[in-house]
Amino acid sequence: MTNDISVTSGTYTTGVVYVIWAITFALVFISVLELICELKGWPTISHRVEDWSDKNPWFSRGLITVLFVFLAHFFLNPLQKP
Amino acid sequence: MEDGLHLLFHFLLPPYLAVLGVFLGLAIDRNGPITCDPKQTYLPDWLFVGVELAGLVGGRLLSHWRRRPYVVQTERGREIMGQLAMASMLLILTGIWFVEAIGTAHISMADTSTATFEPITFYIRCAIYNDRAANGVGWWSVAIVLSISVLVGHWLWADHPPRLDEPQSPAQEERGTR
Repeated sequence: MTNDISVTSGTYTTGVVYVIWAITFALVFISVLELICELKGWPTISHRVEDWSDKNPWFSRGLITVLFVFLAHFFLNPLQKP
Repeated sequence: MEDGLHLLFHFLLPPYLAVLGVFLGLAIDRNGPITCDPKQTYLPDWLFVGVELAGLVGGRLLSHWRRRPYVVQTERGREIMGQLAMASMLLILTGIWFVEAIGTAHISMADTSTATFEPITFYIRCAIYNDRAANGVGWWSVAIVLSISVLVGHWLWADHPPRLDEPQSPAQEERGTR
């Protein structure tokens, strides 16, 4: 059983700020790696992933499905505690 | 020209992402809402599924604009960068799932008090709620879902035209698209 209080987030501000900064750190890290690879003439991260998906189309489709199910679980569920 | 613009994009992307992330974090920390309104029923919403699919196809179409890149095969660089990227990704994912597990363990249906520690899932749903409460559609949420989907479509479902010196694969010849 849930009520208004139990579905109200008590740590939203701090939590979402940490989420944003964690995602920012990961994206900046990947984009710096990409830049280094471009400057050195090495295969970039994106190129490696694209190569892998080209060679393993079924694994790639499976991974896309998993990622999309993961994304969808955020917005195809109501806001409430389980 | 094409390669120059591509390199410029790679130079500008890290500072752009860093500034955007820090700005958003500070803005929410100082002025953002402290919670979300559970009386609203903004979720579930199938609009985002449509955005996901549009982004996936868009990411694939984006790869049509550039031929497969030329790369210098330096084995040492390949190995170090590949291992660094893989190890970092697994480390980050482990951290995320650890925080999610701790957050999930700290909430209870029976608990009527406001939680002191919650899973990341709640923060993201709560952010979508606040976004939709602020502008109706939830444009920030749509933009983020679209960006992630474009990246997934571009990386995992890419369809670059081959390099001029690159032979077509049997699958490409069969499709006759390149």
